[in-house]
Amino acid sequence: MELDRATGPRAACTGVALAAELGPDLQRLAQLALATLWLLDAVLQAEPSMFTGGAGGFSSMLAAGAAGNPTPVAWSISWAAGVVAHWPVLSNSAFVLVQLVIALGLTRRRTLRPALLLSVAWSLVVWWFGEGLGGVLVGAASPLGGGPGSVLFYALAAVLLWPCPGADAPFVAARALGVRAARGVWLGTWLVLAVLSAAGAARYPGLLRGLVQGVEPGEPGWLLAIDHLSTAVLQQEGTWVTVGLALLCLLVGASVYAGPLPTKLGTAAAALAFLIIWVFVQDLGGILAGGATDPNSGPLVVLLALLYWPLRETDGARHRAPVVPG
Amino acid sequence: MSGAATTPAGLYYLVAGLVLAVAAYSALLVVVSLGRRRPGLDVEVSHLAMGLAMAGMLVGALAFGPAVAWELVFGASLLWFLGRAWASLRRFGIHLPHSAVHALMSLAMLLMFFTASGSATRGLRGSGLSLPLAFLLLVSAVSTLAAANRGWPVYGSHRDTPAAAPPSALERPLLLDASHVVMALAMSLALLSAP
Repeated sequence: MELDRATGPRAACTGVALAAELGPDLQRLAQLALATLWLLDAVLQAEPSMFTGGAGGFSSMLAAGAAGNPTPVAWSISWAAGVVAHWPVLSNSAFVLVQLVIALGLTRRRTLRPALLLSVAWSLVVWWFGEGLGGVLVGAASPLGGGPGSVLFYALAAVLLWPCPGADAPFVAARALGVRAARGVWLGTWLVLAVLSAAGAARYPGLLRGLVQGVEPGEPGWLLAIDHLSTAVLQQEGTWVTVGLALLCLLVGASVYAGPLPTKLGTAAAALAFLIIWVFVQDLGGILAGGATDPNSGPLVVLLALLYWPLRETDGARHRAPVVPG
Repeated sequence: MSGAATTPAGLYYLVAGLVLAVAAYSALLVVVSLGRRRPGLDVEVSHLAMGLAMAGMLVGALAFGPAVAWELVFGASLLWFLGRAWASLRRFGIHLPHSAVHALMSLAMLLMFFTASGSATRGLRGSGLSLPLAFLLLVSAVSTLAAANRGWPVYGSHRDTPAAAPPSALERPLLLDASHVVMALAMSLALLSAP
């Protein structure tokens, strides 16, 4: 994009000048944040180990997701892992390409809708074959570890960021679904997280400790030190942590119905909690250890929380028509 | 990169080819611009250096020159673009200077050479900087693409210096943006794949 020589960088093109009058399009910013996360996933998927078959390769990661699932689900996951093991380069190249297409598609308004639809479809495929349904049917889908499946949050974000003309107020997520439906989605999401926090094996310290221990090898020293602290806390107080998380989820879910201030507190608490979880339990998704294909649920939940941050009508979010490129 | 010998066929060679293409395009722009005092020349020189250095890091056979020399090059580049970014912020106010993105790229290159040469006590991942650097590079790539498609709703441009001379026929916005995106993706892959 060339520079307007007379006015500097602040009005480099008509689109930017129009945006300058209306204020930043927060929905568009969030879409670009989602695009960045998909681009990160594509880069992680392109790591050398992902192109190799056999033990330690991507196919073995997929095969591990079959364990504990009902027979039909486990069979389908094992079948997919077998295909990947047979054609590791071709299959992983396809996976990288799909995620690249999604990310690049989200950066262009003309391809935004198809990219969002593709991201939803791909997220569901990955949730089944890549994450083994997030461990939901196994009883081990703790939100601490990314349950009910980190990739589902990509699909949820895609729905909440469906492009629609209108104001970002009262919150960005309402622009696509309307206020009532958006609040319902938020409540439903946090109810699910609350149940998963407290139900099944999620509240047992042994499983919780394993969430941290499972991502230790290969990580930098400072993160290992954090892991040791997290492991000790979860071993001793794991049940209280999960109960506390469940209560927090319930409060966060209900906060959107209580007015702007409780909503701000709820969304801020949600973002802060999952930021802490992302660092102290999810180990930044295991990205620094190598072998991760996504940053886990932490950043996605933070993004979702931002979509529900209350906005005033006078926060520059006046009614805007979609910017037509070209 | 240390993993080049064990990677499946084509991946690092493909990326090396792409960054060499960026380097070649940048070299053309540098040659065409010689003597014209065209603003943005430092960006093209930077792309040329990064392309050559990245190709050598991705495919060992393409590497040349001592690592210390590259560390000096990208250290100087980092300081230069930090100064340019500061000057741009003072002149135009709050915005995203393109020179800031190149400072980030120079930092990433410096870090990769610094850790690869063994000067650091632990690898790139151990520094804890690979993830934030890679993420910021990806942000710059997405913002470049969005700005190029008029989908970027906030102020600023990825080029913060007005041209003193008419652009040459070689300066196509699509190629300039593509160069940036290719370099950002290649460096992100290198940062996240490093030991």
